[in-house]
Amino acid sequence: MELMEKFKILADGAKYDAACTSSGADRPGNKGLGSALAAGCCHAFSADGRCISLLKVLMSNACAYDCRYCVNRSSNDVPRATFTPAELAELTIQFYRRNYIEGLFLSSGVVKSPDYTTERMIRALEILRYEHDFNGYIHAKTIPGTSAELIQRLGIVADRLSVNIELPSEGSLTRLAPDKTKKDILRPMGQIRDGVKESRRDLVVYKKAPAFAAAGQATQMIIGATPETDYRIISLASSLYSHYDLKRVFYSAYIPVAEYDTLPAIDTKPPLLREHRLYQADFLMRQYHFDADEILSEEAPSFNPYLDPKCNWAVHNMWFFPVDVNAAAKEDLLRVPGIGPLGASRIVAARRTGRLGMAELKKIGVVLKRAQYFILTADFPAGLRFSKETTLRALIDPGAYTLGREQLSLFEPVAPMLTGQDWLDTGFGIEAGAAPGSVSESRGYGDGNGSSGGGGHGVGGRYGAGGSSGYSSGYAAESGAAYGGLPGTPARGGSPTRKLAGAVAAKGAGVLPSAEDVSSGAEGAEETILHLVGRI
Amino acid sequence: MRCPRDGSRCGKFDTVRRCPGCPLYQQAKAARQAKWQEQRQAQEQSQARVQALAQVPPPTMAQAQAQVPPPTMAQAQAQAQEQSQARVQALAQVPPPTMAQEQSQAQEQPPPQPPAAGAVVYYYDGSLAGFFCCVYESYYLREAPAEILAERDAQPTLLQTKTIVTDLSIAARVRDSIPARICGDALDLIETVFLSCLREKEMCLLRFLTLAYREGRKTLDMLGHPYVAALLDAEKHLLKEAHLLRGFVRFSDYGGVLASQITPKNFILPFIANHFCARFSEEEFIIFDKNHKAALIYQGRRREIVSLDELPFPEADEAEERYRALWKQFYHTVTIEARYNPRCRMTHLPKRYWENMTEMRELL
Repeated sequence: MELMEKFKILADGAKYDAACTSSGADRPGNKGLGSALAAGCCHAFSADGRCISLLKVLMSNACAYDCRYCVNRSSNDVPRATFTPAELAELTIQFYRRNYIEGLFLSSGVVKSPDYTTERMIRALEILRYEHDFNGYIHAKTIPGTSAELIQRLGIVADRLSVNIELPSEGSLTRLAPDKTKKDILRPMGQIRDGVKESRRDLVVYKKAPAFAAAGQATQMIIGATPETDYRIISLASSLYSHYDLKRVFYSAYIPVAEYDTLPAIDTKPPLLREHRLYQADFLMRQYHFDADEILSEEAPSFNPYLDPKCNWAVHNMWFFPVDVNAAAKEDLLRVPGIGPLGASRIVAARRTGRLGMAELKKIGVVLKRAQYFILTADFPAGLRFSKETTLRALIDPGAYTLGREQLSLFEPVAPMLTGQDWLDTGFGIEAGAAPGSVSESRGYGDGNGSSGGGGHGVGGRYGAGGSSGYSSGYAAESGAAYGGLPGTPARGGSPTRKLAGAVAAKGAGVLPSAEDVSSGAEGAEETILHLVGRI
Repeated sequence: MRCPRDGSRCGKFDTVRRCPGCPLYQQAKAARQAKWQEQRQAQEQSQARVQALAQVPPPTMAQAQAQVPPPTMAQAQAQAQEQSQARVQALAQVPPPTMAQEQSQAQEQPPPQPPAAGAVVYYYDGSLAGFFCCVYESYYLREAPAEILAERDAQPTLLQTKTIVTDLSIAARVRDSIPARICGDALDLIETVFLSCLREKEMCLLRFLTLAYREGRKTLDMLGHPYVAALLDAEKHLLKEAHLLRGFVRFSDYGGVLASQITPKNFILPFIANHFCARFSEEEFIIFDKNHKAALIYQGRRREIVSLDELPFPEADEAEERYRALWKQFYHTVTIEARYNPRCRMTHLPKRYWENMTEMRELL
């Protein structure tokens, strides 16, 4: 078979594998060909916006297994092809020399038996490593059921190993991947964990000891093909991180490739928003000191489609805020929406030289759009005052509209649909009885409208009163929403959220209470938020 | 601190590693939760006290927040006026100032020797040494130039101009003063920003130096200060571009020599040289920066950055064309149609890089 054609088939078969980062290994290079960067490196971006870092191919797609969700299952009628080890090595070297790729990601369908397949993969990798003196990054998939000796050999030539856990529960696994068992998947994971640890110990003693899977191991699971809840998935990820020392867990939104009675229909859209939320939660667990049961719980097992998990935690735990940026510990700062690990360390460094105000935080790189509702700063020692509704609206994830538009369609609710009750649950007491609070909120509207002709930007004056001369008017306009109650939307179109807020504002202009009828009740705030909910 | 599980050094996050299964981490987590519990109880107690005092039904968060009604515009303005008057009257009595306030105070209380502002334009030869001589001139004459321009960017101006002659001994004096009086990182920062595409970078650097000579060692921690932030942003922009180009450079093989062209905004050749020379240590290659008319040449394990006006590329041979075709095919094959998202691609891979990339050029 022509190389061109073969390559197309084998690249096509591997494209659904998500676990293809090139990070974790650090090799300086200087001899042979290639080096590895600890931070990884993206070489191209495909039209779906995903990074192409490694040459991601299958050794063979002639698979003996019949996993229902997989494009390479034995019952599927697709052309089959197999690389010879030398062919694959040559291709990798030539791509690498031209700086197309950072290394090789090698997976395979099961040819004959797991052991036979793995031996061929090892052969290809050994040609690369020993004949071509290749020092680039290599990620190898272990085939479930491979013997321990072969995994050991594979780990010596590869930087990262991964065993796909495939589905988030054992029941789903037996149903959809009848040839794989939980034991087959977890045993190699445990072996790799122990191997990595042992290799690290050896390297301390012998400088030249061979490194086993220097970049650790990762795994991947398919989301949306089976009925597991989000809570179950992140709990599983959390226990994988702690018990198997995984570097990453990847989530892959299920894209239907086969008709099967227990699988979603072939025209189902991939649950991209859900996948996005899972990655957000995953980062919270790995880099923000969150636990799985802080993010979700048995009682609330699904992600809020409108708020990212960190904002969701924040609005459910308002007792924790405000956090004083000039005094709080780093891990407390990490809980503030809009402050990440980098922002937190920069705040900690910067506050040694002087007290920080909003202007400094903006320069430091904190996302004030979200953070301003949760912090105390030098120029606002009592915090900004804001209406709950404004906060909530500012926190709504624009991604919920751009990324998952199909999902959030009004007519075909796929994800758990938001109801009025959900808004109440967010802890923002929009209870009908909350009259006194709402009165003063509404007074905020009245004032804003009165002083600035309805634009809502008049609130900039408040910042002057705050005593900070360092403010640019741009910032005051940006956060005008924080104070006046209504965002100053008319001037800025663009993102769907803003348009949405704009629509609400426009509608609001008609129904919003004037200063007179404010005193009579709380319809103002309630009308707007209900309108928002209805609109969504 | 040692990790109790594998004995390795542990300290990625303050003192405790992030691995969720680690006993140290569990300890830290328990302490954290106890602290938060306390915080929460204290808050609830104080709320209860407030309630008892006010004898009102339990307030919601909304109420608690709304207790202090926002002042009207008129009030706010009056307040602002009052405050600014008070500030002028009693500068010494204001609460600890923020950095922004410090600046405004600095403007109100000019330093003892005010520089004559904006009367002169400096021309220099465009080298770092030349820039250091400008710093020297400005510092010793107590003169604040309106602009510092490289001679190649010179343009007619109404202001008085002054050509600063590069004197290497003076440049070395200024250069050495930076690690001595500020810190070594500041010199790195200045050298990096000098290669960046920051607009009016010379003036930004000069402003930074005026601040840094006064503040000394702590300057680089003043991340919120506009002078420092401007430089750090420029540095970030440059380093980010250098990192991207480590991936986006595309070599073509012309008879064993690898050649590539790039068009970056910043002068990033010195920042990618180490990477490529280590990675392709046994190859020979040239990376031509078309925008800055310079090239990184690596040959026989020696590297050099030379200035070069033009680099004509020869025709690609058959093998080269074949690998280009294979790569383009791979690029298009790995796309998952169901996730098609060109906007996301554009964010990660801006269009200005496309012209030099084998697989992207034809999509332009």
